[in-house]
Amino acid sequence: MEFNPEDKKVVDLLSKLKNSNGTYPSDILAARRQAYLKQVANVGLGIGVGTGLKNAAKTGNGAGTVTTTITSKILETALIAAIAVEAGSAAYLYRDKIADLIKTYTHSSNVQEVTPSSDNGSSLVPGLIETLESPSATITTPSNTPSATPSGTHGPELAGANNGTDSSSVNATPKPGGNNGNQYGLTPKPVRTKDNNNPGGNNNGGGNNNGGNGNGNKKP
Amino acid sequence: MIKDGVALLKAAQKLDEEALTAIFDEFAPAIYKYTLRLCHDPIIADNIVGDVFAQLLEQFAAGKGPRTNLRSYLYQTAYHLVVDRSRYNQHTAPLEVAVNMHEKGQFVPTQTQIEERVLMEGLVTAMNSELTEDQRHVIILRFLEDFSLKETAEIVGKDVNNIKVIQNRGIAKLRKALGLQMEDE
Repeated sequence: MEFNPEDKKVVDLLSKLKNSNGTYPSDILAARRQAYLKQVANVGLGIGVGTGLKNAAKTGNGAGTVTTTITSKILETALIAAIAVEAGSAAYLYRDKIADLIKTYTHSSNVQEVTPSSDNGSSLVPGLIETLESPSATITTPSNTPSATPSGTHGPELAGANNGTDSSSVNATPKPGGNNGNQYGLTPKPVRTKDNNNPGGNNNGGGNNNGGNGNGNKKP
Repeated sequence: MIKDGVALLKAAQKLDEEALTAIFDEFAPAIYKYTLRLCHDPIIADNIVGDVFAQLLEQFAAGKGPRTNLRSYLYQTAYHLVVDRSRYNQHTAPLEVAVNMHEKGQFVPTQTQIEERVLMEGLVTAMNSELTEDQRHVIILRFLEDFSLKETAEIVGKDVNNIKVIQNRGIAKLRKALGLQMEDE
């Protein structure tokens, strides 16, 4: 860059000022260099890069840096050991709960494994399905079903089967009479009828009644 | 011993101990001198040198840091640290710390040398009192640290043309301040 003669004189003076003293005092430079070399060693080892460097830069003392690094290492080791001991003792104290938890976890996972097997029911042979369904049909056919529930939810064939013998048990619930809403309290109380033929008869067994042992007994 | 600048930088990026030490030996005195000129305090200058090289290590360890111009990078870091310390505005200490031209008892100065010393002292006084911070900083980087216009612009964080303007205005102010001494010559 070109300067005019007057400016050149100023630039020359500045160049002379450049060569002036202001050198790094040798003892301070040596201390600084020592601290820097320790930082380099720490970085090479990968120990406490961030904190070590910041502390070293702030203190500016090599011995202080080393002390800080060693202290931090000792503290770190002690903390890790304490955490490990605490975790071990907690695991020992609560070993039963932990075992239960593990069992629960494994059990629930078994249930999840079983659920897909329900889909296999669709692959059953149709004939087998029929044989499985047939008992329910035989159960509903008897005419003297003692469980005459007043709900009136029987199917039409059931009502038809009972027409000859017990018609009262079918229409246990009166018609709403135009009141399709709340039927609470309208259901008549059952009336016990005297049994002339078999006063001490065994009417409790549903199986007995189903097998054609119907004596005309009815349970309200 | 790694002598090539590029090879030195590449080795330092790999955290090579020899390269990192060589960088310190090469640049620490210059950074100290530059920082001392800015803050006038030898202790602060020493601390800033420590901070500069600690940051450099941290950057290299993180896989960052300078890729091309290491010298410019170090000066830039030092400048930012000086600004951060808020000592930049306190021009209480004179620049004579850095000048220190008096070498007592070694020789008897001639008339020319005495005149030159007076000029130098006038220059230092003008730098401390007449120039703005930007002008002073640019003058230091350009003429005392021998940075190019581009490097100075990088360090200061301004455009090259802006640096040219700041430099010319600074020199003009110094010339004006030294006008009496020049006329006397």
